[in-house]
Amino acid sequence: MMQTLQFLDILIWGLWVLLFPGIFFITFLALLWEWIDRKVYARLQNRIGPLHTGWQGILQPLMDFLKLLGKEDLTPKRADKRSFSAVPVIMLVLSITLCMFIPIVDMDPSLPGIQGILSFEGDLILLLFLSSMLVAVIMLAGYFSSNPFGQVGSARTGMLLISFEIPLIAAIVTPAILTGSLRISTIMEGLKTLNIPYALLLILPLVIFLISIQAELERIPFDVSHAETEIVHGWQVEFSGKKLALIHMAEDIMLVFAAGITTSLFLGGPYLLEFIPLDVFSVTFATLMQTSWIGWVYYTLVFMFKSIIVVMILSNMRTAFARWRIDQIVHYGWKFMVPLALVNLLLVQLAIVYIFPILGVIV
Amino acid sequence: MSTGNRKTVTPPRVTIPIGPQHPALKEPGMFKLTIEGERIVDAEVNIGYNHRGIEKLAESKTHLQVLYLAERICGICSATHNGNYAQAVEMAAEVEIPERAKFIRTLTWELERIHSHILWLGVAFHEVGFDTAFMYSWRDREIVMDMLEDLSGNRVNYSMNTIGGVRRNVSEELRSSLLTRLDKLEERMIYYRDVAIQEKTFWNRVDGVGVLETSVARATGAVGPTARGSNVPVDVRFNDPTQAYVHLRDSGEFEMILSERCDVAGRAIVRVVETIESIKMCRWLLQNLPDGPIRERVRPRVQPNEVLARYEAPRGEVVHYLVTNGTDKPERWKVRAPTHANWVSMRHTLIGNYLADAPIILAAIDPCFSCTDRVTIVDTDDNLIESVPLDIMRVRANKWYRQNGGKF
Amino acid sequence: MSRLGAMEKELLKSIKKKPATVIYPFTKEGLNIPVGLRGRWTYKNPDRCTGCKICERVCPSSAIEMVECGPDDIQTKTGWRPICHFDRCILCAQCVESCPRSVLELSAEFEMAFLSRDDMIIR
Repeated sequence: MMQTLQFLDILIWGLWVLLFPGIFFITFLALLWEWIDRKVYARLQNRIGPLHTGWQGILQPLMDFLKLLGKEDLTPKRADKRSFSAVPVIMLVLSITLCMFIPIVDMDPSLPGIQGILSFEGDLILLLFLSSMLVAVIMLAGYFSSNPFGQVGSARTGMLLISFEIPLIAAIVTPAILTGSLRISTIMEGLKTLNIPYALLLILPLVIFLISIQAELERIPFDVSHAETEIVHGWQVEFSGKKLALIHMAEDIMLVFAAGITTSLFLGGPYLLEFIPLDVFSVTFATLMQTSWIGWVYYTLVFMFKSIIVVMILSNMRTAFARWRIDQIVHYGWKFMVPLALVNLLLVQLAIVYIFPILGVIV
Repeated sequence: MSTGNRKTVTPPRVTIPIGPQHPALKEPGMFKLTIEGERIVDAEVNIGYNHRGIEKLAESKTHLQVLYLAERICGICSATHNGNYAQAVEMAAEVEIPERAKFIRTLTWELERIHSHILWLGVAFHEVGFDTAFMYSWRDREIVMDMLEDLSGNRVNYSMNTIGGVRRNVSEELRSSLLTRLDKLEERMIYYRDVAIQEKTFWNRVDGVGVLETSVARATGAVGPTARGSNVPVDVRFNDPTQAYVHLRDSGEFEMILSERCDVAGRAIVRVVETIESIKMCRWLLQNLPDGPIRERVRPRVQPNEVLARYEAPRGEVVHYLVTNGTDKPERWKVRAPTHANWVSMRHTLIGNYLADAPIILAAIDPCFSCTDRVTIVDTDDNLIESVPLDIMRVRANKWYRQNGGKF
Repeated sequence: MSRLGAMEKELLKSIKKKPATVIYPFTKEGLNIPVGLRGRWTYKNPDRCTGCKICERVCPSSAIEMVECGPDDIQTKTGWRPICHFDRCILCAQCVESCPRSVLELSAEFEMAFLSRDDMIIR
């Protein structure tokens, strides 16, 4: 009897990881986000965007992925073959692992609040570590391909990330300071009960975070490492067929991660109606959602809604700017973004320790 | 600490080829850039991948047929070569074409300048990754493309000119519709002048990049917007006007656009402002269109003569040198396309800039490789290159086919 | 002078605007085909042809060939009539202009893709 229960547990857990908040759902979101990104990008440019595959071209990212899978896969003679073919897989695995940390629905009913598939104390640190590792893989990808364009591209990726990892971390730490935890689900739970003056402190780090995550995703104006008119897609230049398909998928999943982490840490996660200060919503509705299966649908939809807003903001940034040169990016990164992030941390500390107690605002 | 043996470490010099195939180049051309780190320390321009033998082919065709061949020298400035060849033949035959024909020919030229400059603007935006402005500018270019299509019946190769005039007339309703569309175009161009090129990320990429000083521009004989962006007043439309440009100059309403910036930004500003000036010129031409016939009959046989026809193409001064010999075919025809004059200063503009700026600097002169490649120069002293006479080549080819069993 | 995000207003405006894209192969809406378009080479008044061969002589790309009139064709004075190898035609309309009896014309048809060269000979 015990054994069957355990077996069932493992089966259900496996289904979660594979299907709903796990790999399948994340992939689905990745393709959907790419479609939204392309559509918004096109509409802002007064074009139509994908149109013919499915309703309004909604299946176009999937078709692109499948078609790329079927293309001829070439490995350059001078490339380090084993590492070269490992790069796309590692990228995909890392990005999916990153997405497992994002709290979408309640995975552990014994704890209060909503947890991701992976959730433990200090997972924010691991998250940052993994996302930096992804960058290291990208840099290696360029060097493994032993193509001058690829190497220039990976060198640029390195420079870009050196400049923007610091503001990114400084921004991500702010909600952790405000709630006093390094666990994403606890931070999210803490944000729910935050006072309005405290919530206002989140605006500046949100802006810093959005700019830095745009750099992390290597999109315009920070797409120096791709820069197709200068270095022919940089570190991706030698990848083709299945490998390129996996890399594109990994990039799309990174977009899901970026939007998801912004939603969780700055926009209050999958809660929406709970923020209305009425007992009907903040108590009755919240309890209902937490205890019944409707919550799963509700949380997923709210999460998607908030993520879509973030994706749209990121697409708008991609539309409004030209590509900066690498030295300009490093210049603005160190002269503007890093000081701003540090000032922001200082401000938060000052506010929490000195200003708010004087004003009489408490958590 | 000893300060005696301090060593300065310089990054190794690497030669990076841009081209013959490169996404930044729309046509084949090769640029060998020697870089230290990200800085360009030396550059070498190799062109000649597009030699098509047009001048030789022209010698076997009649003047009327060469008109359509000349048009195909360049896809973007097709009215330029077409009209300038017609002008050259008219000069050789010593005929004066009717006033209305002159006005319509000039109108086609100016509309072509508008479309070419907007095209360049889009390409420049694209080279620095500003795809949004690229999409917008090419969308607005459709207005002038439609105007040209209505005027001439084709979007690209207009075939508007014939020897002794133009082939199509401008009707009254076409005139009013062109005028309304010019207003819309002007509004858009003012937007680009005031807003789009003032976007900071774009401006940072062109400001102070690819500097070509006035003295160097003069010394290397730069022409067109490249020279005018370096404050060199060369513009055939004002210096040596032909056709209806004489009237345009005499009206005193138009002036040469110059910029003192000397960098890529200067060239961009010159092109955008010049487009607005061109729109005004088109409007003036349409409003003052004289009545009368549109063509004059010219005998197909042109008397022996030697002429040099100049015209300010969108990219700069284009020169057609024509020798006629009394038959209906040209004896010799030489085309100097504007890009050819601008290549000379290219090395100077590239040196000292970042590698990432190479595409935009190359694009800033609006290069047109096919127009340029009139001749291929081979250095026979170079051991790498072997010069083979035709008969030896034929023997070798026959041998190859015998060995490899080809069918011929 | 230069500022960040200068075009943002225009971008947001264009969401409401109709897209500039023309969905061409599916609909010909918005193509603005002008009246005087130089399209596919056709005969306007084939019965007026005299077979003078001017069109063949002026053609810059030697696309026009004179063939002897067959029994089913319209008989011209000289017994020759023009056919067009359309793959070589550059659509300059010089033949239309030079023809003394306006036999030829470039029609408004602009979709000119064929699967074989034989289909492109206009008889």
